[in-house]
Amino acid sequence: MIKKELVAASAEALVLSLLAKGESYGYAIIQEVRARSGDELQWSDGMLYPVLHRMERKGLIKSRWGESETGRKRKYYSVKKEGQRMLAQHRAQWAVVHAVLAGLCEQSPA
Amino acid sequence: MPSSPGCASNHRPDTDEPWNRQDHNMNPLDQKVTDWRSQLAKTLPLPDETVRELEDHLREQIAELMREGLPLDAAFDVGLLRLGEAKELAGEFYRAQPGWFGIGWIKDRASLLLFGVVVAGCAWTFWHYAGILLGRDAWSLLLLFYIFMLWSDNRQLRRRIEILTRETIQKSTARQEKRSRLGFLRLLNERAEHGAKLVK
Repeated sequence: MIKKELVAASAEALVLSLLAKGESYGYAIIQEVRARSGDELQWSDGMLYPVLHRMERKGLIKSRWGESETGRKRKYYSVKKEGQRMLAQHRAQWAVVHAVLAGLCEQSPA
Repeated sequence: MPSSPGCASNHRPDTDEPWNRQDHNMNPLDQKVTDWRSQLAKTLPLPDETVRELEDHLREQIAELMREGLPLDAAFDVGLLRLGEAKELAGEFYRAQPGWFGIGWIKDRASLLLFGVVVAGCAWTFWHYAGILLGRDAWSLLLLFYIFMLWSDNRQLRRRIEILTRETIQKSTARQEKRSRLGFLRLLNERAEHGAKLVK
């Protein structure tokens, strides 16, 4: 299981990456993160919404109220231009972290 | 039809929503969700829009757990466990507030600074004028006032300790009861997750 701190640090980048593929909503975002990480990356469900709201306030994403397939009201999120710019930054930063770690892992015997 | 997100305070309540219905023939799930909403409103006053979003999440989760075979009561409890209790949610939402380390933080500091300036002004005034008007008695009065303040503060502190002790005992009893219930729910949660994996 991945540590809580790492989960929190990667939340914004993950949400932006998912929303860059298309509009989505809270529950679906959580399910997709779980599925893609093979249940290794588990967000507490309540954690996501404050993150989404903060990102909306920062102007990275926008939301609209729509309807679910059962007719229930549902809030959908999509990424804004500022969010796309931020996503590019996140990707570059995570790529650096990944490259450094991968390089170090190759050098170390374990 | 999609509607604009809008501000929570401007949001017109929908009369067709279960919690706005006046009849008492709600289905068990609606009843449970309504109870949860009123419980949440007591512990964590969130904008209506946010509560509605959390409710959609909870209902979706419950529906999926019921599709996996859990009965309504268990599905609701597990859904709630996954969503997080009001206290946990409060922590997450509090940190995400713009006022956190923002306007609220500045207000607190500004009022503290203002209070400090007023106290310093009072002390300076007393030092300059009370000595002239009351002579030696001014210092005796100040000492008496100081002793009274200490006594009153000590009394308040004792009372607060008594209340806190009583509350702690009550809480620990409640926690023990809750822990046994949570253990059962976690087991259900694990089983539901295990079941979902098998289905996939």
